[in-house]
Amino acid sequence: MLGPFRASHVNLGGLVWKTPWKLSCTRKANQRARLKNVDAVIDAVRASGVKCGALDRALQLPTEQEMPAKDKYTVFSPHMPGYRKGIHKVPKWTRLTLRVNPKGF
Amino acid sequence: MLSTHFKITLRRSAISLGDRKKDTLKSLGLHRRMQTVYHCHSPDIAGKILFVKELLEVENVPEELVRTKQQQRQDRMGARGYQVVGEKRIAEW
Repeated sequence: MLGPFRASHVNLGGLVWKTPWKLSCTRKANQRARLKNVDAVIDAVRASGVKCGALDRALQLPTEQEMPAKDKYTVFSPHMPGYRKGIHKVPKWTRLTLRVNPKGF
Repeated sequence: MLSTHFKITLRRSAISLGDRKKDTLKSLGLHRRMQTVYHCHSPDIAGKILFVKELLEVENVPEELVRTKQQQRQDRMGARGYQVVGEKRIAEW
C-alpha cells in the first residue's frame, strides 16, 4: 500500500469531504451564540420604539431561550426518516433564520 | 439620553445570499464587513435591518454619539506628534 499509486479515498473516487450527521458541541455552542446575536438585533429594533410589519413578524419568532434543542440543531426535511436532518446540511445555514418548523414534525 | 439612531455594524458578509440581501446592505450604506453606519429610527430602516438581521449588529444611540465617516476615522487614529514625559540627565556632570 506504499508508493504513488496507493489506494486512498481520492484515488478510489470515494467521498472525501464527509459531513458529520450531527453537530459537535462546539458547533452547537456557536449556533446558540449566533441565535443570541439575532435575538439582540431584534431586541434593539424593538427597543427603538419603531413600529413596522417586519418587526411584528420578527417578534413572532421564538427566542433562543424558548427554542427546543430539536429546532436549534435540526430542521424539517420531508425526505429523511424521522422528518429531520441536521441544520448544518442546509446551505448558508449560519446566515439564515430557520427557527420555525412544521407543527408536529 | 433618548436614543434616536441605529448604530449598524456589518458583521457577516452577504456573499451568495442573493441580490436582494446584497442590495439591502448597499441601501443601508454598508459596503464592507465591520463598517459602521448610523441611521435615524424609522420604519423603513427597521425593515431593512430585520431583513438582514443575521448579518448585523445593531445598537440604539442618542444623537450626540452619531459619528460621520470622517469622525470614525479620526477616532481610530492615534494622537499626532509626541509628548516629552521626562528627560534623562547625567547628574554627576
